[in-house]
Amino acid sequence: METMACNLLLVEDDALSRRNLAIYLQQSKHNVVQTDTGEAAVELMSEVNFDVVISDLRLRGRINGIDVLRHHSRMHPEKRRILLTAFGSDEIRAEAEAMHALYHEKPISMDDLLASVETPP
Amino acid sequence: MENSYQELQRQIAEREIALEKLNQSEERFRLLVEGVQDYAIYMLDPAGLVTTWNAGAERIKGYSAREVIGKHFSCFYRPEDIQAGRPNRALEIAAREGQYEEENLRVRKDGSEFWSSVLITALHYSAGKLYGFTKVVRDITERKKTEEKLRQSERLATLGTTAAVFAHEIGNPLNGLSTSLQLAETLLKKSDTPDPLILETLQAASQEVQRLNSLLTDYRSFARPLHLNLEATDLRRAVQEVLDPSMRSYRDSGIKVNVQFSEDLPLIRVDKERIKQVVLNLCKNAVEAMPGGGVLTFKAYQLNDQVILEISDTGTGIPGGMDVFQLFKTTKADGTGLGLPIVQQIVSEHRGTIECVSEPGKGATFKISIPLAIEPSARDDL
Repeated sequence: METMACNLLLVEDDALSRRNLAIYLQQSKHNVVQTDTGEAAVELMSEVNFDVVISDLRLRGRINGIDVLRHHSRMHPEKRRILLTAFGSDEIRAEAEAMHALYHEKPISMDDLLASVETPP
Repeated sequence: MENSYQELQRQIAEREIALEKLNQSEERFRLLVEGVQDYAIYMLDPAGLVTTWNAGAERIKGYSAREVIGKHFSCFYRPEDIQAGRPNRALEIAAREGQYEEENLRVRKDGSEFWSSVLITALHYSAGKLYGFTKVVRDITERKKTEEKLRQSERLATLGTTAAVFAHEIGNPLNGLSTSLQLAETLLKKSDTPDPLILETLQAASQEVQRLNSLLTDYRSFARPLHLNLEATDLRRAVQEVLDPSMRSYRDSGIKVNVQFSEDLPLIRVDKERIKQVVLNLCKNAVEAMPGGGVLTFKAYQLNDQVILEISDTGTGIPGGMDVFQLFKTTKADGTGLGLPIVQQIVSEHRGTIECVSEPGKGATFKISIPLAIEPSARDDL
């Protein structure tokens, strides 16, 4: 079954991971906008209406992944959000769930991530 | 003449009083020493034979004065210490230096071992010839246990902080590597004729990444905040759930499983999944220690307010002096040295203790004690 192409925002400060995830998702016909900071992500969200936001938890600036997803959930509670983290915990998982975000621990299985992107919220 | 006789009488009387005083003071001293309960205080002759014995010695070591006087003091040492010549060396040092002090394991009459603090002091005649030795021994087992517990918790705390940093610093590059391999494989599979050799190479690399990742996952489990999901647990069922998937492979490798649970074993309030992790890690080690087959035994019973679980194998055993709970310490070629530290962490999260007894060539036993706390509702279920 052909899934609808989504507008994705990918926020990840590890360059290699970001590149790989972006290529993989683009190969699956999704439109991917990439950035490496939470500040830039918030900026982009004010311009573009993203169907899915995927963000790493730890980011370099003052805005972390949870903040990015919370911002998105306030703007578009009905849309999908995915949190990536190299080092999770029950608290982080609970926070992610509170804003209806899915949660993936690194190393990311790209098949699983794609399934999360394409599952209707 | 009369004066000199009176003088003699007076001198004799004085001497008798002094002697009486001395006797009284010696008697008091003897009673004092004999009555001391917390310290074993006794004397040895120059050859190391026991010549006196107090109440503390009887209490700590288990021998009565009648049994032990005349015996060589090496009967308080462990066989390996006797073989290494330690008893006589201690006396030699005390004779030469005046004193000898150590903390070590000693053996009671019933064969049980205890930690003791020992002070040997040499006694000399005024002319300098050796008269014998006094020994003062204290049972410091409880102190040693407390020290060990403290060391364990300090070790775990350090682990927790380093593990968090480590997991992050390794996790990110590992994710880059892993996604690169996944992407390469996906792209390759899109071509009409993917080169099987390249595909195989990528998959082999992915497997290695997976191996690194499971090492990291183990390590990371140290840093996770403690959130025990406590529930009334049937230990027998938990063990069975760990064993069931492996029973066939155990049979095939000639391993007999022997489960001896006491009939009236109560439910225990534990995090079942973590306790299963403990059992799983211990089973893995046990099975790997028995490459030629053997017996894997589970025993569980209640002892006062504790539930004891013993897991024994008949395998190669653990080399003497090895601290198996030390991080990254392993006897296995492809072991990570994380399995037992994790076991120890989970057990101490449950306020329990774990100890290991092993005889090289004969196998190993891990004994876990977990404090009992039964929920009334759970007891009703029984």
